[in-house]
Amino acid sequence: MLTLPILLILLLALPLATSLFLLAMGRRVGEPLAGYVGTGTSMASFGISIAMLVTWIYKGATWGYESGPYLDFVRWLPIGNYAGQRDEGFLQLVVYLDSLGILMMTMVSLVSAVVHLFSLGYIKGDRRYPQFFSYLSLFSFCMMGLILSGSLLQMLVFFELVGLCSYLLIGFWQEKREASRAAIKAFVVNRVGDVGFIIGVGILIAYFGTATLPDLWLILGHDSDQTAMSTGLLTIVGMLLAMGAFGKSAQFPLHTWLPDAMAGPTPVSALIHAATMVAAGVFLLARIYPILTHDARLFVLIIGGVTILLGSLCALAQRDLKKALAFSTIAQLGYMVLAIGVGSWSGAIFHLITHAFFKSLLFLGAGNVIYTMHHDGQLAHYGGLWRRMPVTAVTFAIGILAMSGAPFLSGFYSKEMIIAHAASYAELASQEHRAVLLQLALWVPVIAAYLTPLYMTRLWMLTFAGRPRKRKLYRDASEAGVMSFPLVLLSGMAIVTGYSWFPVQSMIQGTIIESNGYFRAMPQLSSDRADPLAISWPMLMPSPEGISDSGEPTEVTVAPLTPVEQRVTRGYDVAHSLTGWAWLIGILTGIAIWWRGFALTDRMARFTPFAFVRQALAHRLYFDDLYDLVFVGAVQVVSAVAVGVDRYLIDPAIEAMAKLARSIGRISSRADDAAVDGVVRGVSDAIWQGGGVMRLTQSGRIRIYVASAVALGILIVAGVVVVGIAR
Amino acid sequence: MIGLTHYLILAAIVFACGLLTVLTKRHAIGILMGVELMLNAANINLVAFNFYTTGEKLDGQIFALFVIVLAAAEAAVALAIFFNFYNNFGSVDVDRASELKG
Amino acid sequence: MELIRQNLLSLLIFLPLVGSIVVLLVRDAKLCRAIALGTSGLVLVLSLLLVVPGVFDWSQAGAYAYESTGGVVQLVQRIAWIPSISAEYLVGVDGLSMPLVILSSLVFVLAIVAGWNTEKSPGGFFALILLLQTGVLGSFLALDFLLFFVFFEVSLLPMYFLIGIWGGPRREYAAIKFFIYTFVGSIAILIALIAIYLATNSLDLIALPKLLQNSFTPGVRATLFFLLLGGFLVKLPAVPFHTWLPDAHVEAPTPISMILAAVLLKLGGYGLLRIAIPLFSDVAIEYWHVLAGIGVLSILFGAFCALGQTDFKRLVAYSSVSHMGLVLLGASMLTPASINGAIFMMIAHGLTSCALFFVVGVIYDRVHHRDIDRLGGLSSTMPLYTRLSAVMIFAALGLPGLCGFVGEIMVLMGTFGAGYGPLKVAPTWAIWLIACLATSGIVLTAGYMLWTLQRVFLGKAHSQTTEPLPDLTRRESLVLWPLVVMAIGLGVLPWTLLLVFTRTTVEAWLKVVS
Repeated sequence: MLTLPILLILLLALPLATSLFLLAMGRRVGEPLAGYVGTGTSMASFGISIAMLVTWIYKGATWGYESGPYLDFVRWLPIGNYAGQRDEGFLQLVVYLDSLGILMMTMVSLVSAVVHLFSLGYIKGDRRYPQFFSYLSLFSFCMMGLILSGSLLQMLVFFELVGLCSYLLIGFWQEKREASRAAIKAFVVNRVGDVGFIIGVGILIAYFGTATLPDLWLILGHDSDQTAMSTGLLTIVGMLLAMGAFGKSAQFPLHTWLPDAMAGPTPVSALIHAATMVAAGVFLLARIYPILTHDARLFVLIIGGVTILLGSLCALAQRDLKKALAFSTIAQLGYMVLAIGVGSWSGAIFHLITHAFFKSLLFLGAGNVIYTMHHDGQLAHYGGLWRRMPVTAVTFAIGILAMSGAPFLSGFYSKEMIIAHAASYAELASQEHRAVLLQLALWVPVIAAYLTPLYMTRLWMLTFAGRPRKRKLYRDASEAGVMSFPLVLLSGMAIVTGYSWFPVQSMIQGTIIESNGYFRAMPQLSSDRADPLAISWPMLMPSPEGISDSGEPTEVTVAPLTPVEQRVTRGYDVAHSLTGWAWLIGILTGIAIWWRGFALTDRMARFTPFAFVRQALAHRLYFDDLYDLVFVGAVQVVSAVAVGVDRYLIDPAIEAMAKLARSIGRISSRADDAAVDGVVRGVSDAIWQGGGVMRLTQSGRIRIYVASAVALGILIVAGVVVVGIAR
Repeated sequence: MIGLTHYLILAAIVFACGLLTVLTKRHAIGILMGVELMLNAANINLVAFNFYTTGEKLDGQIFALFVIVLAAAEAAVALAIFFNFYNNFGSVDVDRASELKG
Repeated sequence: MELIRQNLLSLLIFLPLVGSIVVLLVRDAKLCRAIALGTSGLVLVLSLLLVVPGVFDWSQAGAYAYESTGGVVQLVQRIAWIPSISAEYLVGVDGLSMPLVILSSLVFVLAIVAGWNTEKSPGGFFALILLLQTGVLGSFLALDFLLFFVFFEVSLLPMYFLIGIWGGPRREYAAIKFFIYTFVGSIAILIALIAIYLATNSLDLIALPKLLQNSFTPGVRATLFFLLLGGFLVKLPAVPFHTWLPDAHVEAPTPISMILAAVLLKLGGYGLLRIAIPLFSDVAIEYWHVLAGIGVLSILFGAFCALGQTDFKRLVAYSSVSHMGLVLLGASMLTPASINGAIFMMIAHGLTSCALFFVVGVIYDRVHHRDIDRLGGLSSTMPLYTRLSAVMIFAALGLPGLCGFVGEIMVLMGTFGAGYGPLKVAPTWAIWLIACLATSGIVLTAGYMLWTLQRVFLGKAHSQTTEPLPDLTRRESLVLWPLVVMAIGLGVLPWTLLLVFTRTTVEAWLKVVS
């Protein structure tokens, strides 16, 4: 009988062992076999996670679907005694697994398996072929560890480890200077986020002596006024912890690493920089959600909103296929972060899962195109490819539709959910004193809902439609079976994940039920608090069936609606009417604009303001240049100053002290010369003369000196003795 | 019963050994060792006299301790000199160290 | 067996001395190094006995006192040495010293292997290394202040000669600089020693904290504390007493750099934990901001300096300054997490710096320069070297799963929680400011370490290194592998492999301090 712990160990050990094996033996195993090993184990991992899903649903004693999380503790670091620690004086390693974890694991292992399969073709013939699969397996392991983390510190551990994998894989083609730089940039920018995270965890541990999530939920989850920590401090802690998430999820202002990270191989971008690792930030936000205060959530909301706009606008003007996709990822992650901000916990997770599938689909499609175009990512060199790559073109289109929120595809449901919750949030906030600001929580995602289909359609039109712009590349274009099959599989997933019969929404719902013992933070909507910041939406979904397939979450409460609930439903209606047809409008506009490739936009660029805007967007609003100038420049200046201080201040100071000592000696000796010397000179002259005689005895032979000294000594002793006897 | 005399004889022997070493060795380290022996002979005398004469006050021991410290310092200085000497002459034969002769 | 157990510590201390003498007597160079390796290997085996249950009982909890009175200090040997000043030959081991003893035994073996092919008078070289080992192990194990001081000095002289004779072009400047810096530090310690002896008539380091409680006026106490602090900070080294370190490292031969970084610097940290802080804990608490400030300054200043280096070895030396700043910070914070973290950091830094200096030595042997800008693309010609180096570089930058992370995170967590320890007097904002500054250091560390990794190992091979360089020889990989394995082991199992030994001692120690 395979029980959950055994499956867990298998799921962790399998990729790790594969990774180590390939790292050690890769060269000997050789090209195709190493890839088969990696792909085989990744598929086995997927099988295991399915087995786990089944085990989970058929519940254990205390854990299982809708009954409770699986928890396990191991002693880790001595931290000192605090009241209420589970293990007196220690931090623990915590395995925390709930439906959310199972869901994430299944998603990760599925995308990972598909990407492995795709890589078999994509990375073929590369010099470091085995290493690639080794790193991919390592990443799978780290990602699983991250999902299982039940302690904030442990999350940090795996955050950094997935960061390592990301570093290794972005810089996989290390001969490319650009790739190496991007890898370092990714790691360092992520570390900036991690610094915030560490400070946040440090403050939490300083107060409570634990970083274990369930404990923190219990301590901080209910009304935060009752704990030792003031609400203001807890807000700051929440913002600091969120910084870690912003680093990983490439949120403003830490977003600059993600477009650069596209220098890595495309399967990596699909797995790490679209589906899994960047979503880990949102996963973290979901985990710390109960301890986020209202103001901290407002902060998250604002960051998410800014990022959505930033990503959507920049995506419109990128000239590189992958970079455009990267900005679309940033924007979609912004949606999830905003969802956390407005309290739409389930919306964020739901979108995380659907996004993982359609975005990895889009990336793999892009990878197919880039591979066949000899690693040329410039949109200006594409065009008309749908005739050469029909499967890619169709699946890419499905991805675009899903992402744009076209009905009956997964993105529709998840995005609708977020926008509906955001609309209700704004509706409730209309009476607040911050009302104007909070209205943006609605308008930003709505505007972006129109922009999303626009920039995605642009990509499709420029890549697949129109006439080929580079004949030579076009002639070689083709698509291989091993790389097309994953596309078909993923487009299937991109369609079905949104449906209520598919075990995504039910797993999200299950998570909330399982964690009921912990999530005391989430006040029920029925309590009459009108403060929109106090409301969390997960409770709003009565059951999976409560959401009709049209995607509109409907209240099935029999009791008459409270005033708050009425306003919430009004919010849903607003959202529906505002964005219901956004996908179609966006797509049609996009087709119209880019019908003839760059022709129209280039003509518009003759109009100077437009050209200026396009230029600014293509340069990512100059954030990278700004950071280079301000932060990198500052660090370089300070480091130069530090080296200078060392070389020209501290060292000379030490040497000056030595010199001072010497010159004091010299001065005193000179004083001697002047004063004493005159008196002494006469004597010294006499001695000098005497010395002339004496020096004859100075043979320079040390042993003769000693011998004469001894002889003299013996003489003296003998003399004394003789005198003594004589007396 | 071991008395003061025994210690004095021992010290004398040690001193003589040291003296002989200093006189006969050409190797600088050897000479240094001889000097150490002589100093130690003196130490033995100091301690022995202290023990057999005053007994309670510890002047002799403390004096011996000073001698040890001095000896260590002396050894450090001497070694530094030898080290420099070795750098200049490529050997530590003291008979070649006659540059200082008058 | 019981005999060995009784005399284990003395064996550890004096076996290298015996080996050193034997090496001096032997003329044959090959035999010399074989004897040296044999001796240090035997010492390593003996030191590993400390881990064996029944020899050193790590679960022993109790006061900061000798085992005979139910304390944590074990395997004590106590023989009258200079009764008139109540100096004793007093050695013992507890959780503070035990990890350091094992670390130094390991590092000396590796250093001897690393210096296997020394051509310039190998006899003297290995004899001095073994003498150095006596000094180091003696310092870690001595519990009598005078004995500690003697061994502390014994470790100083061989180092001077090892740098001064076997060093690089500017060896004499570096050796003298090293000597003068540390000697001034020693004098400061000696003055404090004499004053403490005159006041208490005792030199017993375990008993002194209690004896000293009511001696001296506060002003004198502070002066003495800062004298001791100065002596150990030079050794640590902390900014601004650190400029001897880069020079000494750059000029020292590879094995000596390994020992210097991995072991000798730890004497400073150990001295703080064993002597300076417990003897004058009230001063350490009152002036916590000085200690912590110097620690944070070292972290940031070292990191910034490392960013500006082009000499690979100087870069690693400055990273040492940065990492040892964390040790100082941890020691000053006086919480279980920070003290355990400081010890862990010392061990972790011992492993990583030892490995990184060896890594520099390996490439220096092949291309005869250390200029980072003229290196590059080593990964294609030296894959094994690149991998092992990369592991150690990541360990140094504090990647989880490797040893650096645990030390770093424990010190940082301990710092955040310092307000709950003896540092209640300190304002919370100040503690957190210091903690935040220290935390931000990890970005810089990541920056310079990864930048180094990229410039040295990745990218295209530099034009001057076009002829394929040979990968690690078997001897060289023999040095690196144990360090890599230890780095991973400590990173994955910090509790089982290290902290389990230190925890009870740290608890007892903290009771004395607060």
